[in-house]
Amino acid sequence: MARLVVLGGGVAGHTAATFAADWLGKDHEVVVVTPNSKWNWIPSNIWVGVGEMSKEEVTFDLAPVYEKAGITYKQAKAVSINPEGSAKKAKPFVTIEYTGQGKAGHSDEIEYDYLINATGPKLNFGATPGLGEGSNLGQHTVSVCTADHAEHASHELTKIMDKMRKGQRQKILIGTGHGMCTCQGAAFEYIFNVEHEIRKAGLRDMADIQWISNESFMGDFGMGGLHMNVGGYVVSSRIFTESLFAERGVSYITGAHVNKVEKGKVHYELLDGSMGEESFDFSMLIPPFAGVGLKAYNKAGDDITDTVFAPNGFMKVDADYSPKAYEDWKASDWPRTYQNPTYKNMFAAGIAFAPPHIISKPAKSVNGTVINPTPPRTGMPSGIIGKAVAHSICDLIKKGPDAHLHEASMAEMGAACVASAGKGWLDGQAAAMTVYPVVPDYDKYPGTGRDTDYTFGEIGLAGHWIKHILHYLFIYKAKLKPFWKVIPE
Amino acid sequence: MIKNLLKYPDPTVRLISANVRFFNDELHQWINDMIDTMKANDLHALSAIMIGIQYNIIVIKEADNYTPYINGRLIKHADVCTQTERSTYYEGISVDVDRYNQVTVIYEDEKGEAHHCDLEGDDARIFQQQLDYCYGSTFVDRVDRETKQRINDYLSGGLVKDARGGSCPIVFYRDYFKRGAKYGMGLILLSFIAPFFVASDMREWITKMDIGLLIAVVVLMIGYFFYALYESRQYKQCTSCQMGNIIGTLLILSGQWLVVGSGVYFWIAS
Repeated sequence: MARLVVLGGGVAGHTAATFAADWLGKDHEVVVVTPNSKWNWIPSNIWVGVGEMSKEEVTFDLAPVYEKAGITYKQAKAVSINPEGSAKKAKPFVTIEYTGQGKAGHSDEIEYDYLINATGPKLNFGATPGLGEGSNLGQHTVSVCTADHAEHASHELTKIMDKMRKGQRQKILIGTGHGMCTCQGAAFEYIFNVEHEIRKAGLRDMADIQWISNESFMGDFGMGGLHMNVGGYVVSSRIFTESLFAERGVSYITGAHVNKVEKGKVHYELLDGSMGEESFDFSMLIPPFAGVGLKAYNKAGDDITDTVFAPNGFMKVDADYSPKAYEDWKASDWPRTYQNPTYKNMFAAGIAFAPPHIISKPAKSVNGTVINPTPPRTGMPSGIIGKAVAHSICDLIKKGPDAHLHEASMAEMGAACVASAGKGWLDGQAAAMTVYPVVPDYDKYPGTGRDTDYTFGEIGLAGHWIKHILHYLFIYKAKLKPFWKVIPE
Repeated sequence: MIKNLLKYPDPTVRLISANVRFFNDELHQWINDMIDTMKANDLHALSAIMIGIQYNIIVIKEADNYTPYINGRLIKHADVCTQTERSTYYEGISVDVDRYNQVTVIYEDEKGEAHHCDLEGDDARIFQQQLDYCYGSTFVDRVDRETKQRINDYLSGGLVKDARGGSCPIVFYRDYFKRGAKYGMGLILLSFIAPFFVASDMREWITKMDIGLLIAVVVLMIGYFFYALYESRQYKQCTSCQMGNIIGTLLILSGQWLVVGSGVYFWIAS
């Protein structure tokens, strides 16, 4: 009997664990270690953040789902990995610290035959002074990264809307809180949902809304941009986004690294090296991501974190990590199997794997500050990677160590994303976008590196309906309701 | 070498230019071609896509110098103002366009060195216009719907909508299959009132007709699927989720077919 331990219960971890449990059956054990008691459909946090959905609607308890699936569930956070075991233990193990199940604070060691690291990111608020401490959100801004954060954001938004009703003009600032953030899409969705709610409340003339982002041009989205179909005309996401911002009366700052947040004010540096500041009454700034800070030790107890993890804390996998200039980037630099090169029974999925380089064009300010989006890894690639990794491990367990590993390179994978620009069955709007491949392949598609036939977006009411249907569909799938396996990632 | 300038209705204008990654002889050759073309046509600014090179390169004539701006981006902007603009692409058209009067630009030179500069007035406007060409757009994407419609009506072949030259058809032929299937099912529904009027010997004939129609509807649905697949490949650019539409339409038709089918079975044939 083999034991697979999955660290993390987000999109990648949950997909990997549930498929592995289904494929492996009762002969083998699947253990999930996640500090959260609830599963969260993160894309819908945007709607929690504007009070259009409750926290309960975007989360559900994990314990009954894992019980039904025959998965051993440990509500704990992973602290360290001993991929060679230790002086006392022959088998590799992970050290965990419980956060619930009546054992909060207690440590435990869980042996494994195979390990999937799908811990997702640490929300690194601490990277920007004033944005927060470590992974904790500070007091000056709000966030929509977790359901709790989103609920808090919604309360704060209600407060400033009350002030607007009393005739006080309010300044809203939404975007990225650091020069190396990803997830511009979430901030993009939030700014337009906030604008939509304020307009619906008849308060639009009382609000100044501003966007601040580390993208070098509007509509980069951390992917170097894409093509959009707007009213039958094909335009770049830059023209589309600039038009959308102009239409909704939202001003914007691009190429910005927010370097300090104070009460009611952010300080930033731009790509031309100039410094600026912007005041706000309400601000949602996305934090940069880092690895969750797992440590690794060898058999002798020496720290081998540098061998297993990249400097940003994400796990090293079968990617080409040698430093390369922009012109030398290749699609083949990106991982295919997500297997750790040193310890072959360890895999990483979703945001937890270390990407070899970014996707957008790299950029530095004249002062040397890096200001460019880091690679986004949205739900769809995370789910696909989680499933591929689960498939590989099931084959390794069932067919032996020579089994062929399943591949899911982001340079050969398309991704679809629906970005909400306002919620409402009749007046809602969302931009549906598809990108192929996620990572540009400059050899296969000279120039932009993308197949323009499949790199496409459209905005409209139908997009909103799709987004709303996806909310129910993916929560249904994650709850392992009948036919969950036929719903794609 | 002097190159031909892109003119309406060449669809290349809708291509989105890639970032320049290699600062090599080929790039220098492109820049020289751009300068030659500018001199020959007495132009003050030119973006590479206007001579068919799909890379983010803009050359601007400053006094007697021709300066290349590579991988340009607008970082700061202020002071929107409206001015009449012309384009070498849509000849004979001039429209009022809102642009920033002050911009800060970051770019690379022909050696790949990063620079930034502040542009004002006409220089700022020209740069924004050229940068839009690099992003597959002309001024028509910067004007309101009515103006866009007026330009569309003025041009013999209408505005250029996408890089492939073909725009999306108003009617997809697949819809004829769908309509046929719907008419078939409509006829079956009509036959449901027949038992109230006709003699019982006619019932048998109506049953046969309904079964025939049910089979025809299935054939039309299969035809719809395959033709729609063919059409979606032909018009990839028209909508981002055609497969979803096709499956959705088939599911709805199948549901309707099951309803009328059970009507025939339980009401007409019984």
